[in-house]
Amino acid sequence: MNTQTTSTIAPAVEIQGLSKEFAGHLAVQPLDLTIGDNEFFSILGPSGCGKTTLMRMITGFEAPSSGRVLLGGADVTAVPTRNRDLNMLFQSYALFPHLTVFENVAFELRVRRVAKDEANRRTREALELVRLGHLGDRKPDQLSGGQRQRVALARAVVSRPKVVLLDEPLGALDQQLRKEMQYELKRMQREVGITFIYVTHDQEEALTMSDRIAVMSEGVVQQVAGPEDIYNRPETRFVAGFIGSCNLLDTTVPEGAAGDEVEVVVDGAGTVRGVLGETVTSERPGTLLVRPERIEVRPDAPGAAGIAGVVETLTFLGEEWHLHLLVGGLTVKASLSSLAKERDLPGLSMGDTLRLSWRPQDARIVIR
Amino acid sequence: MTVDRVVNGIARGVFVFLYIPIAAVIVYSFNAAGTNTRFEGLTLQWYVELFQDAALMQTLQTSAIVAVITATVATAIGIMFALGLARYRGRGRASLLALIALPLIVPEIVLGVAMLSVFSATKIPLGILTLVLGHLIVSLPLATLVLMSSAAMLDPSLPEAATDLGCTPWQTFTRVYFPLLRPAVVAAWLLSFTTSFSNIVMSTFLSGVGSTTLPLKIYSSLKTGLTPSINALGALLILLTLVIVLLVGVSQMRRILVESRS
Repeated sequence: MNTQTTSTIAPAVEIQGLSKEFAGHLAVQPLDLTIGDNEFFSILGPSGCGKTTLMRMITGFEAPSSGRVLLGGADVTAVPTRNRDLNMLFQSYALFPHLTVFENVAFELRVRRVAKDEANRRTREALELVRLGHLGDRKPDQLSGGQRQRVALARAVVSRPKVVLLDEPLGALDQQLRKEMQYELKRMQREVGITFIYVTHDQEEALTMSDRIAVMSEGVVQQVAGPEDIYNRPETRFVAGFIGSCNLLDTTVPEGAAGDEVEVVVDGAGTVRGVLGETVTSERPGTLLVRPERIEVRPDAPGAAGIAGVVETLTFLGEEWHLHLLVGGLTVKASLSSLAKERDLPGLSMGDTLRLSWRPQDARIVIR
Repeated sequence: MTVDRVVNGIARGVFVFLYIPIAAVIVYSFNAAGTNTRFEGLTLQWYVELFQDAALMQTLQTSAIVAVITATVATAIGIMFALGLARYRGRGRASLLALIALPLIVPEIVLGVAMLSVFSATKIPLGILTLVLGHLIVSLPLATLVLMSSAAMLDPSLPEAATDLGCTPWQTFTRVYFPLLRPAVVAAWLLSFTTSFSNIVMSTFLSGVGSTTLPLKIYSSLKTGLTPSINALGALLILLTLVIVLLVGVSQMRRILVESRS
């Protein structure tokens, strides 16, 4: 069968069996990844998880120990950085301090000998895109952090590369500006229609901006999925713990268990239910993952369903309350909207006993 | 208060001590008396004599040629050292730095003797070439250190950004490194130039027949007695130095002014 149909567009980036070894230590274990055209793709993980090394192998700054990198279907593993159809936005922005904003943005077009009129027109367009058309004559050190960031972005997209890689670009900005720039980046990515690969350790940034997220830990991609799936259906203990707040309850998965309503015993808490994504052929240690906001808490009454927990701490955060509940020997986190608290548990105080329950589909069981 | 006044007084004294000899050289270069012990009115006679002294002019030319070559080569090698070491963080960095700075610590007279024995053993005739090589040994560490302090302040992402934006290594140098290092390059060149131009110790060992440098000539004329035309030469060199300093200084000042205005 002919698989090369004309309607198929090659993915922007394909990574096949790519790995990197530094002095006997595998910084990136062999991994496969496909990033689609025009996708906003995040690589999320704590520092030292290998995300920066992975990014540097895609750009060509770092040579892989094994595997291949394909850009738009073409193998670029042996192609030097300057000839790869991608640009990078550096964490330090790396603006050339001796050049004006306009010259910085026009830099690539001039190096690549684009005709002068054409180069000037495209530079002006790129500056308009980041809303800095009026600051072309400034030097980088006369700009604010947010403005520098925009110049760096304009410089990265001016040649309309296939891919732009962004290395923690919001790290140096204050909280207010970060939020603004998250929306701006997303807007610009949609406007220019370029694949963005966004490298970050900030789960909130990844969740709000990305079409898909790859969560990395210790050189391994743990899960690749859309933000909602990553949050609601974590596939590993690490993903659940790294993104948002989650209860990780150790348990044992019985032999032959499978399906959406698997019963497991959590020591001290009793029998609980959750979704098991795979079939286990023998008894295995597992972890039950359940988000605090998915736990329903009700007043304790004789014969009430759910497991009993004693309120250990009670914290008010404005829109919601955070509860730490002592269940057997375990501490379970639960959250409660301010509305629900006022309506259902108006007189709640520390030391009270509550009933905890959740729908089976809101808890996931993963094998350790 | 008293401490301030004492410090102030010492500072004034230092300046007087530094600049009186220089002022004296200039004043006596116009002295009609022909001796540095009394002043008998103004004349340009010593300047005329200076330019008619073919032997002295010859040594000035030798010194200028040697200094220009030395400064250019030292700066070029210094740039390479500086850029290499600014990025290199691996083993042996400290030893390499020590090796580069070593000629600053080893007494110059030892270096001079050592160079001379190398040149006689390899039968390289003494002349401009041996002078340049000798002067390089003393000026290269200075040029490298000046350039290194400047290269170390560059954002290490800049060359990667240039590569990412399509630059070959050479384009990265001409478009990014060189413009950013230019003030340091100028400083390193001038420092090497003056180090070579005023050098006596190395030159004593390494100059050959017909390649006497200006400082050697002046020094040897001490035996026959200083002529007032040496004062005239001194005054001219001071003037030249001032012009260079002003040119470099003014261009730097203008850059700073332009940058702060917009």
